[in-house]
Amino acid sequence: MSVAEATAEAFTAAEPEPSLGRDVWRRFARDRWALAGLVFLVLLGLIALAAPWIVTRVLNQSAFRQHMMDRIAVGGRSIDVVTDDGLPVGPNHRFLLGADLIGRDVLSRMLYGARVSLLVSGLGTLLALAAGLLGGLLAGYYRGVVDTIVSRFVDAMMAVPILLLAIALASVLRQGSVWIVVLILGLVNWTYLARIIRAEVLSLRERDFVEAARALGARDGAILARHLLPNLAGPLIVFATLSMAGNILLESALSFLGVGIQPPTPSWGNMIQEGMGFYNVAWWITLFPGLAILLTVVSFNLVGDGLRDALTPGASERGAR
Amino acid sequence: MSGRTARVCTALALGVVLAAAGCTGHRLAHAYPLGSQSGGPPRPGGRAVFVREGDQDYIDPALSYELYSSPVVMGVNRMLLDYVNEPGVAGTRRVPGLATSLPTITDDGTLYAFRVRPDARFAQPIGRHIVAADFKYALERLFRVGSPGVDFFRHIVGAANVLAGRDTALAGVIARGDSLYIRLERPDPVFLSVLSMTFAAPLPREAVPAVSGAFPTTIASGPFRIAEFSPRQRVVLVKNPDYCGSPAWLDTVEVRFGVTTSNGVAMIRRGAADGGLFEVPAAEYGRLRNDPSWRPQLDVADGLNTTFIFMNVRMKPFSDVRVRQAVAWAVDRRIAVKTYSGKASIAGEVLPPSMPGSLQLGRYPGPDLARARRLLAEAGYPHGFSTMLYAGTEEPWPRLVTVIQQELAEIGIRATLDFSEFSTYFAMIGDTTRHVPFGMFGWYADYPDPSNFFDTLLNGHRITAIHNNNNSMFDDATVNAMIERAMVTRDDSSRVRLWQDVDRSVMDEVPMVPMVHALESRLYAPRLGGWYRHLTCVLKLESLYIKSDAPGAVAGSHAEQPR
Repeated sequence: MSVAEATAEAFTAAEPEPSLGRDVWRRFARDRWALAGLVFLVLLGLIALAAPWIVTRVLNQSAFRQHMMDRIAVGGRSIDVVTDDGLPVGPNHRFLLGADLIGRDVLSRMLYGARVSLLVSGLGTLLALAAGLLGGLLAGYYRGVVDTIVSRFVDAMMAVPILLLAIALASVLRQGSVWIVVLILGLVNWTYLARIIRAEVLSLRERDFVEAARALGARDGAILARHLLPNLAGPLIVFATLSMAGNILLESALSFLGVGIQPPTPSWGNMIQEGMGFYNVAWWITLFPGLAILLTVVSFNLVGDGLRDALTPGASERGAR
Repeated sequence: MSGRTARVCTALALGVVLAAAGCTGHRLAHAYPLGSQSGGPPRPGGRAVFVREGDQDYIDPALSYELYSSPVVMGVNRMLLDYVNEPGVAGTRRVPGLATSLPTITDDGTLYAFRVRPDARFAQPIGRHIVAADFKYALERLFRVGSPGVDFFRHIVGAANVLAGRDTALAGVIARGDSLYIRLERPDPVFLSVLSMTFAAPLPREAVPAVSGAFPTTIASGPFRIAEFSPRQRVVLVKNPDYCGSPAWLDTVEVRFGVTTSNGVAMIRRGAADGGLFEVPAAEYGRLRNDPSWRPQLDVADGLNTTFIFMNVRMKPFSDVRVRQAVAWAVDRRIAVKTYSGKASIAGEVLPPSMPGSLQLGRYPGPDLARARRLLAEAGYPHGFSTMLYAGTEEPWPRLVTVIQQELAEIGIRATLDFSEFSTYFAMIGDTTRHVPFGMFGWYADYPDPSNFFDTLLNGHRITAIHNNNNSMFDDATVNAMIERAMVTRDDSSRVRLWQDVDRSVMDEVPMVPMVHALESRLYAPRLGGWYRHLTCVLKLESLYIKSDAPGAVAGSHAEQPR
């Protein structure tokens, strides 16, 4: 067999080159914890989407209707949903995770709370992505005065404690609205992404493919959109995932402090706040939303870690060394 | 275990620990009778420890104006007049304090003449006889130090000049030896109540600075004197041997600051404290009430409170009385009582039950939704209307307002809720330029007289641009006249009838919908006797005693000595 034939055969026999996405997924799927986190989040997302249907059709409940004067039969006995002392009924066949302090179904409110928490955190993350990407791209690509202005502004914002900044913004912007909370989450988070993107762009702009694009006469907008942005997908995805976890915690903290989502709209944070004073007699009001936050945040962190490892192969090994 | 596995397991374990938290209780093991008055006759001696969450606001009687600071200030200071030591309405009867007798009132109720007791003395090291000039100095000092009590004394002749800075002396207060004369510009039937407040406690000019500054801890005219005052830590009172009235039973009273309410309850339950200067947390209240060992240790009393929804009668649609009545018929006050964890009674009138002259009117015993809808339709709102419902974030208002929102939705009133932190909320609803249409408010009486409700909350002549308490902007000429007539009526039974008429008229016009009269609850240790909520003070320290058959009844001992 001639060299040419052997080469041709080798090319024919070779398996097709795996795509980048498939390769990332293969590496991601190897991480069991990350996969478990993803499964949990997908399920949670589906449940949150279907919450109105589940609450009314499956649970036959309402997340908003109070049952202060109602009585239910439990174990053959008729009992108050909320006693004269204001203590709600615990988990039972009618209220699967118990009732809250005004006799609303805790499970139904948790499902609605998932909608609110995921929506607010998701939109807050998108806002942070948009602002952080823009700031980071401009600062890293143009450098000079633009970089100085953006970077010093980012430094100044990062010098203020996040929670303090969020509370101050909530007070100034008038608390309560879901959109205000989204705005706050976006405003306090974009600075981290801006720094990451700036650092990436500073490195990318010196690479050959950018030089080549510039030499071929590509304009700045085209270089930013076509050549730099696709190369930032990895950090963006990882930041978005980890930022979701942070945003869920921050939204919960704001609602817990009374400056986030306002009643009667349920969010996991304000559910915990409402039941906090009663944790020793009506533990179900705080425990279940607390667990929901815990599991969701852990899942986002696991998925974020998994994605980082999958998108930057060798990073974890390098880190381990 | 990998780092990540460890993190996950730790997080999950934390959840389990959280789930297991709480639900631990203390059973009371005691060998002596429970309750306030049991345990044999009082015996002198002993030490009692109280705990509270906040700090003492001031020890200066001119400045202190906070509910849980009042036992200390009341224990250390005495005024010309006092109230009889009785719980409930009986406790509103006035008796001479540092005066020899109740005052002689002449000139149509504008001139008050007092005589100071010859045995009245300041505690050591001042140690001298208290004279009328000490009362005059204390009253004039109120205006110099910016006392929150100044407004109560505005009817004294010359007060306007002092307030305006044109004079430093109150022309209407004359002190000659032990004789004190006070002249008012107009009769003020509550002036004796005002003189019974600690703002009117005598102060020695030679020891007390005329303007704000460090107030000496050595000043005492009451049954106790201050032995130690460490802000944010504790105040220790000891019995004042120079006090001219009935001596206190206890030798020492200590109030520790910075103890959270739930920790306070736990300390009392395990015998580390004798009482809590705080409202028993709602969650603990239910548990304590259902525990036969601890139920007698709860002091549940009328807080002289009315919590209500106000409607701005100058703004549509609340300018129509039928809309206001519809709101009153739509709400279920039984639910409101439940949101207060049972620590409240249904309010169908403005005056709380323990207020002298209070009459249980029981108006608008709803919910009557059909009637409410009919009233709304008659007012031109057959499909209801949209509005904002404002409230503070103080418990349990968010829950109560959420329920009210649903109740109003049943008759077509679509209320959007707006919550603010309480001090922000209070400032907002008191600012008439903010035009708050609809909101929640609660009023605790400053002194046990109906004028403190009607004149303050509903007299149209008292509406101010800021710091306005008439949140309904209610300005009804007939009601104003009735209030002002009652304010100058000196005959008690006539006044009571007038106040009852005012209450009926207000409930007809319903600028506010009374929801509940909140009760107060406090917890005391079984070994402590003599506690009760006096209508003018959270606790009268001089009434307290350690039960004679209780462990630690020996003077000075206690289950847990302060660190």
